[in-house]
Amino acid sequence: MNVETLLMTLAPGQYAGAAQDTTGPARIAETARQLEEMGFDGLTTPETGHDPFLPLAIAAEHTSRVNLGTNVAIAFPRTPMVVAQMAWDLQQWSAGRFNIGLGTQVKGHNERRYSAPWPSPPGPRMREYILCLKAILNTFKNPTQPDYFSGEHYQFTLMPPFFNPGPIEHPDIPIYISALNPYMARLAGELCDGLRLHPLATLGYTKEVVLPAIDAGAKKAGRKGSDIDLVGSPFIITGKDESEVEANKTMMKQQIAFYASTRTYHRVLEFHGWGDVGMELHRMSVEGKWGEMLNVVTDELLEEFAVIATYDKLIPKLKERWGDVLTTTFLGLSPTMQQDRDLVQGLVQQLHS
Amino acid sequence: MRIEVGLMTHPFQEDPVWPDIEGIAEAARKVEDQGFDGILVPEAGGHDPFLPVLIAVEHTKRVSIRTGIAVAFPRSPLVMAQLAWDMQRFSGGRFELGLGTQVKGQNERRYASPWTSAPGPRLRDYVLCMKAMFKTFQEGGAPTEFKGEHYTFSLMPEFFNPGSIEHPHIPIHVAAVNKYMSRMAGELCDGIFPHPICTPQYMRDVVMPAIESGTKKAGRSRSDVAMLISPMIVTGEDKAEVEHMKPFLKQRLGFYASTRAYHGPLETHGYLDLGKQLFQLSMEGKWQEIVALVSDEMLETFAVVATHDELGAKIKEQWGDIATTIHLDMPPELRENEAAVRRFVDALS
Repeated sequence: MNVETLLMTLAPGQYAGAAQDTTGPARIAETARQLEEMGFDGLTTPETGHDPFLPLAIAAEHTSRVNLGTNVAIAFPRTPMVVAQMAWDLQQWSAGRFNIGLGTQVKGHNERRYSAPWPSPPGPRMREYILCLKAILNTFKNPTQPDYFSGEHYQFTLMPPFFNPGPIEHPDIPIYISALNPYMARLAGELCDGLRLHPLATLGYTKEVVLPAIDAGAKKAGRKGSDIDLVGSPFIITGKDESEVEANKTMMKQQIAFYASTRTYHRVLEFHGWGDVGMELHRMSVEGKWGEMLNVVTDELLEEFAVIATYDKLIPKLKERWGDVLTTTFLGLSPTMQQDRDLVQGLVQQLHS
Repeated sequence: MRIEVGLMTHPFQEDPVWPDIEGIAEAARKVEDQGFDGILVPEAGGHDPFLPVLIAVEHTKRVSIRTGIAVAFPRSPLVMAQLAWDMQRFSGGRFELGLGTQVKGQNERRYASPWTSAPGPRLRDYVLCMKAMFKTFQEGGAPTEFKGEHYTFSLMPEFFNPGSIEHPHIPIHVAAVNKYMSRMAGELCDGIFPHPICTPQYMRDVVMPAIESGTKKAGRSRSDVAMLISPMIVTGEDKAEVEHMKPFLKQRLGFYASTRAYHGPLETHGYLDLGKQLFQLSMEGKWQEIVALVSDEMLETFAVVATHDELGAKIKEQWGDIATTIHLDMPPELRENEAAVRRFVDALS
């Protein structure tokens, strides 16, 4: 199984926004080199308050083997051409190690944070977005045969020669999308090279809902479901002993409560018969009761959503649960873990074997 | 006068090559060593401008680095604000954001980006929205809300706030040809980046009065707005080399002159009818015919034509009383010619 992790150095207790380490290129370069040495197959960047493409340029410069991708770039606030231009140069600079990871985010964040319009349901729009992006990349690859695209939401019908960056050595850039619902999973099966599962996707939900949708999409396009790289990012609660594991449960409950309060993700809760928990969390979030929400997340629920084990038992447990479903595992590292080189190297090796 | 150098090879030069990371790093270090004040990266040739800016930031310590320009509308204000904020943090305050709108056709048909209304008022909204975002990044807490006709900003959970930086004022420059953008630069921006087709005469007749009406409206002064001039240049070591370069610049000028949004400066110099003709030819994709219609005289009007030796003095003569910064779109062979570079820097500074 392939293993990837985030390209960032973390501050304790947080994993995004102001806490994301972006002090400068030198620090990003150092982190990228260290993670590559630890044996990871892929390094990816989230878009949580920072541009996700920039650190990957630094990583391309300072690593030689590891794959690099966005995990995920929010699609609609940048047009397909903006993503295509960045991806093309990053692919060239990394000698073919780049992949594009895209997601939609939710309506409120697009409209009110990104200042990006949300004119219609995200699924069909994303489908067009990817078709348009592919048409642009094809046109970069074959400047004399423009592959124009006209859809309801996106148009690509113009490419004067002096705006065409022209062919590169590795022109086929894999496209991944993040998905939780069947529409997006079908879309990944039909058009994409990989699917990044939302951390909230449980094993049961993945097997019963996501995989059949990928297969259906793949079938439509004359492909096989197994052509799609399925990247899982299960919640992990771990530590060197039982007491550390116990202590880390609280933080994870907070995070799961945050996700589970978002109605877009309720499908998974409903799958497990916890629809009422989701609605309650949603109500509490609307009332701003963020501090109390974790109390609604029971140990039983936590077991379903997270892999819980001490460091020495973590990978066997993760593989037992996810081994025959995922082709790539995203292994999130806590700040403590990231500082323990031998530990991380060992975890990666176990996942590889 | 500050002097900036464009880092990337212009697509209208002979054998345009977009450099790789090493090439960018080396060029950036060299520009800094040669004593230039700043580096400029265009969004040209189908390449993103921010990635080379980042590599230049990584490999320099002193020079300013700006986009010249980044096309605004295909990136939402937050996408642009995130990029600018990270770049300003990475560079320790050396980043400047140059924005432009490009034209309707390029937005709609190349960038797959809707063109919902006139670009001027929309860019004004865009800049104001970004400023509200920057304020929120710096101050944290509830967002500084912005509600414009085209852009809205009203959500910033702490989780997504990149946090304060040491130099929170990021200079914003706008590319301009027409009155609206010039007035807006005067009202809201730190600098104006007139399109290379703007001549000194067009600047005096049209752009500068508009800037002044903008500064007046906002209670600012003319000196608050940097004049970032980017003349088209036709240059070479000797007269023969200058002649050799002319066709490439004619191609570029012909392309600009075929664009209706740039017809203002053509009108000033009596070339409006030709511009209309070139526009028709561009619709038919007849780029070779366009080049043939650009005369030497027209090239002399819109570009600085000079040997390396004369270039500095000639730019100063034409632009000295207007420009606060000269951006030199320096061909690689001139950049390699240390003696010529030194003469050029001496002549201008």
